Amino acid sequence: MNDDAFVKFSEVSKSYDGRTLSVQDFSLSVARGEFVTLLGPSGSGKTTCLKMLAGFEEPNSGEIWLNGRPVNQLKPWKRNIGVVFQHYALFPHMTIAENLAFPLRARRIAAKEIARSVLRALDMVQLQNFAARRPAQLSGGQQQRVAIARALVFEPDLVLMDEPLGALDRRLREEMQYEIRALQQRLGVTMIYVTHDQNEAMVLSDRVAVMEQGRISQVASPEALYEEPQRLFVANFIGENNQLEGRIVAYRPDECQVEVGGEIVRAFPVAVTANDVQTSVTIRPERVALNPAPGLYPNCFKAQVEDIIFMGDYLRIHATLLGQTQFIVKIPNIIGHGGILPGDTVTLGWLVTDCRALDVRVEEETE
Amino acid sequence: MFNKPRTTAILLALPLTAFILVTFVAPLGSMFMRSLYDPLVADIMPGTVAALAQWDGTGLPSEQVYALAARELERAREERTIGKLATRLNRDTSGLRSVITRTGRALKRKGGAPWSESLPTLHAAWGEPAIWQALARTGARVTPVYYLNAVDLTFDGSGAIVRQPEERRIYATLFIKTLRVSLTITLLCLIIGYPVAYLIAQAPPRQGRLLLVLVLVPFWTSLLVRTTSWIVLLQQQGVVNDLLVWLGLAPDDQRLTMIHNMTGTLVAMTYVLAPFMILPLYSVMRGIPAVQMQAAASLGASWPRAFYRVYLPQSLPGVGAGCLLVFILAIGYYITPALVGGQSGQLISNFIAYHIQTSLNWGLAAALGCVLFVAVLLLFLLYDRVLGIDRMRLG
Repeated sequence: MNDDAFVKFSEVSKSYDGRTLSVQDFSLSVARGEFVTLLGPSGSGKTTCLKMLAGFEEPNSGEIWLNGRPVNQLKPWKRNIGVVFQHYALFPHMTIAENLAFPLRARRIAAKEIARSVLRALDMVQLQNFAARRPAQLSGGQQQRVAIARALVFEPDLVLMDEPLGALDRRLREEMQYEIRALQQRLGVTMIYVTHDQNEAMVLSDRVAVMEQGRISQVASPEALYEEPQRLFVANFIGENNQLEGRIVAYRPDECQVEVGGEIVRAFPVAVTANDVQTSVTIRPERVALNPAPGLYPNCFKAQVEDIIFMGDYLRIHATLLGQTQFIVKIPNIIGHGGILPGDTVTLGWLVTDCRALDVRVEEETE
Repeated sequence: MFNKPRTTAILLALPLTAFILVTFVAPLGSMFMRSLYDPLVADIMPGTVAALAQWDGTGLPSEQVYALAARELERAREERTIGKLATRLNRDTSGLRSVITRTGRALKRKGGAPWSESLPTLHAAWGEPAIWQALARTGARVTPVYYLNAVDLTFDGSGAIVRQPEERRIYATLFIKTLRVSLTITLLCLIIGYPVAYLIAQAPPRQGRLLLVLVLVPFWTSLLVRTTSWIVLLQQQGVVNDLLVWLGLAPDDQRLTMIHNMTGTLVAMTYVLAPFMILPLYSVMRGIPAVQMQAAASLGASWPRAFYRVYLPQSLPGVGAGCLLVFILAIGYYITPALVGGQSGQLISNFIAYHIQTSLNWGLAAALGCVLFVAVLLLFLLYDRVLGIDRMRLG
């Protein structure tokens, strides 16, 4: 963890009721100009982290640093952080221009300068003609643009966004994702973004912190999270994964053998370090080869095809393998379904490096 | 086309509509009539009133009028309506009560044609034009006199509109006093109610509900009990005075007079009406998301600035609703000032009650009520013009 981090959480914990911890030993460093997303299911504590950083909540323990300064005792209005809220939180009694001028007036900036900045901000989000409207007269997407412009108009060093696109429909959401990304790169502002949508996190972020029950599971770039998940929770939360439960029978640091349903699966050990422990083995559906040439893949097993679903650009095969139903295989739609029909027996193969031996799920997820 | 659900809805609302017509619209209409329409004198002395219509109002009327008046007075005495007549005329010109009753008693024994000579011998007033002018004035069935009285005006002998004599000018002052007191109470309720409503709206749900119940608890207690309990608190030997003396803030021989005067009215009415301020305020404040203040803070506004620029403007519809509600309730309030107001703490409604129950001058009571009604209506329209009634929210 580098010490010149722009934002730094250091072992922060927060409990609302004094018994259960919403955030537990949360440590995270964000560099200047970086786009970091906190990703997790609802109740995983990501919004609480954002609130503590914005100053709306105080940590029970630990310290938050902003630009080299501890901010636990700093009032929210002195932090100079732009916040975009889930439901926009525009001021309904003010026009769009007044909404945008609000942070500037609070900073006692000259009226002329305010007018200029407001125009520039409206320009930035392409709402030049809406200055005199009230928020209620704007569509959801337009309101969201105003909220973003308002969080940027006073040129804060850091912008926080709490599921800002949650209330928009899918098409608009995707459009706004690219806009936010472009804006962040153009302005070079540091951004911390909260979402439960993994696609959004993938599209936007330099790094993603996956959160599970108040803790960080893994912080990494989107690619690393997808390709090299360190924990089962991450492997399942990011993208689709096949999961086989088994027991380590032979362990080496570069390869282990896992007994699954009476057969031996060769896997890459990630979260296991010894023999005779339970493990979950994960394989990405697109890394499974269908009827491969013999000898090409160290892992080859017979499987029964249950269903074939045509998805357009790829085919999705549901199969039963090693006693595990719903084993998913994705094959690109290059040759059609190759004459495979439900009920056929096929061979499925995959590489050791695509097969990661992770931890076993300790408890059932609540959602 | 026959719209069945709609017909059902109208039929279901019918009993309530009928109830409102009978218990609200009808009495209101009847009181309005009473303030303008007074047939008493014209009914008892129809001939005299008709004959006086020909009279030019100066000097004395003809023998024919005298004869009619004598005959109709005699009949009124027999039908026992002469008392009402005397009261009505006395209200117009004080002193006429005894003239009428004494004349009535004497008519049977003495008097006879020519009446223009014998009536003045029964009572000298019959020889003066004043009594005939009074009969002509009060004989009109539709009369603006109650409205004139309600604003301290009256007719003089010649029928011109003049101000009431000094000692009878009370209503204009009373209206102004009632308005002033109502405004003061509204302001006090706002000052007390706003922080309370804010506190309830900001509290966690459980505590908020408890506080709300505390605001509503007084509604479960009789208004009489709540008002008279202020007597216990505020009287000279009461709790507050005892406390002040004990603290040394007031000498024992100069205890404060806080009840049975205007102070009592102000304190007790503010207390009684405060919930009507708190409830609409609370319902509006509850609708202001907490995130609004967080947004303001994140944008650099300190708490006072955020409150003034973001919270207060959004709570104004509640302020408007609460103020209007309290003001309209205060301006017509009766029980509380009657119990704790003493002499100086009486409001217009107490005088309306006095004229209904004691002096039995229903015409004047109705006129005072109508003036009050119109005043409230005007204020309501003013409010609508300035703030917009559709922006008001009661919950």
